[in-house]
Amino acid sequence: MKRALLTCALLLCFTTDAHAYNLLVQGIASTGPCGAGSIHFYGPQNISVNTSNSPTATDAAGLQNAVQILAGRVNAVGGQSFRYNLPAGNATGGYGWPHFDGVNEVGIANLAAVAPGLLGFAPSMTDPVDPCKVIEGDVFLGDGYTWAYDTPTAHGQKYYSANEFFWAGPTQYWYARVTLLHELLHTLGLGHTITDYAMMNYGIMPWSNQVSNAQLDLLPDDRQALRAVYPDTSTECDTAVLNTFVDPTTELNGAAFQKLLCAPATGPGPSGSRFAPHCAFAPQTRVCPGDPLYVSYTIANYGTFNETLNEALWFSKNEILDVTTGSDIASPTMFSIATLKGQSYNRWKIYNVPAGVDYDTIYYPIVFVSGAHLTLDESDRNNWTPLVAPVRIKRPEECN
Amino acid sequence: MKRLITTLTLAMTTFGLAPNADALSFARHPSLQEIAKEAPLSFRGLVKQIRFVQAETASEVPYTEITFVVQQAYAGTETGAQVTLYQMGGPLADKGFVIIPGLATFDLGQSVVVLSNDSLHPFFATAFGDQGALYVRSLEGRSIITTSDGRTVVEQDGIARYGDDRCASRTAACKLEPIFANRKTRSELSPMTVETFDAWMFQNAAAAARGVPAQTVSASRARFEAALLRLGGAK
Repeated sequence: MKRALLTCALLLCFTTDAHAYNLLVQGIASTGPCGAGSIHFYGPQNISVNTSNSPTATDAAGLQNAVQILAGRVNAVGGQSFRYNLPAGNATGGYGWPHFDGVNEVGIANLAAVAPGLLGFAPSMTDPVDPCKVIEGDVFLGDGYTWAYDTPTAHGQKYYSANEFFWAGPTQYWYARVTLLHELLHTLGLGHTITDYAMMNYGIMPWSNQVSNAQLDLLPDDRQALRAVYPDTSTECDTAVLNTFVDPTTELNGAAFQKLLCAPATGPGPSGSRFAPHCAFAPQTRVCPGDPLYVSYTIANYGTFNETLNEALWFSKNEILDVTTGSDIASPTMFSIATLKGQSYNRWKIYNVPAGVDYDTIYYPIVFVSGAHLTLDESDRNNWTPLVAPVRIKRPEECN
Repeated sequence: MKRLITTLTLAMTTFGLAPNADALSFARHPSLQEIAKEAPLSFRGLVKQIRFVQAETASEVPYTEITFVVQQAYAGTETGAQVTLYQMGGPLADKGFVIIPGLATFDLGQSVVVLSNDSLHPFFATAFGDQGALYVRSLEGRSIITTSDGRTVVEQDGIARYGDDRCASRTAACKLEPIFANRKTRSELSPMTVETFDAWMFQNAAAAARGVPAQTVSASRARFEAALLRLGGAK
């Protein structure tokens, strides 16, 4: 559904270059034939799914479907030329370990034997003549984990507050699409980043307000990296509002950690952090009309153009934004932001609770960004999202 | 049945492995201090030899043998000793070069800090892949400790941690601005020199050395190959 928009270039978009991604400097590296260059595929690639170690037929179908969807998301990135040939194929053979047979294989393996706690693993092989050229990029998920191959919504979770995993009874399910996309991007030549918001970090990845197949997508920094490794002249305009961000204070060697943002609160919290567990609410923020509400959200410009966006906070009795019938009420506070292509912005803004909301009622504050082009492409849906938790409007006597 | 079929000895040549961005996804993300405390083998040393070896297993996974000269022992070894570690990855006959993104990489002659835990991670030379490898680099006349991607390891409130990129390339104390407008100012982060890092490791590595073998799978090439064989299955 990605669409090149000339209007974007004409109306709002300008071009600058800024990035924080890291490419995967690998193989024989700095003193070898590949030098300090990055490894990458040459040309379109087949991808094959090996379901031989999937515990059930449902899991096998889920893995096949997830790989197909994620490969499609990679293909849909504007401004980059890499393509998977789809539909994804089927890898043959009942084995749980890379064969290095030239097939780009995604499968399930006994990763616990390699290292306990290893969720994902992306062994690859480069060409003996051209070590920068990837000739096989495999991705394996650990068979010691129970994987959910679909979306939070399919499991009764909220897309806007989903963690890396969820519990269903005694079983811990991990969202497979998150690890699969992260590892697929490694095979495409992307490394971790410590300085920006990306699928190439660790931690909680955002699910946007989108149809299932697009709910988990490459973030702006990932797209910038693909555009650098596999450049082309196509364009993309798409902006999303999300509920996670990278925590620059975490300590990891090479990858930053991403977290859920705080729920809306009446203050900034004792530590000033925007991330749990330092949020200033417990267990639910209660406000009156006119009260200031601290809200944190992320605006992600996926596109190849800069664009200026208007930000608004709407109050809805359900999780669905309705800006036309009068059922949802907008805060009188408005902001705007000039976003750069391929950049993400964590916003912490104070919006006033609008007059006209019903007392003693739960409302979902919904962030809505609008711009000249956003109703024309994918952004007509992922440009709004409820915050990670609703608020309750106090009783009238509490507000007087 | 295993058999060593190819050995490329590359001691003291210009062929080597260099720092990279990592790519292993773990469910657990320990701090540098946790990795250091849990590592039964840790030291600062020089990379003396790198050998690429191919064990014949069903998966044909090649591996790399790295030998270090210990300049400063922290746990499980002695200063002046030679330590050899093994990890997956390397040339695979005439097929290509197998890379395992996320594992530590080394250059011959390089001065490094190794935090190894082969009972936890038998196929990685360093614990948690490249999170267990640090590099000694010279900057502004001082020897400092850096991460795989070149950021300085810093000290905050007496604890060494992977560096904040905003402190990279600076040996002077790096006072960070508040990350968020209403966040309290963070304490100063001092880039760690070899001397301050050694002192910190003496405090933290001791716990790991108690009663735990420094090397299990990596104690010898034969042991490592046997473990690799079990991983990939016999041909």
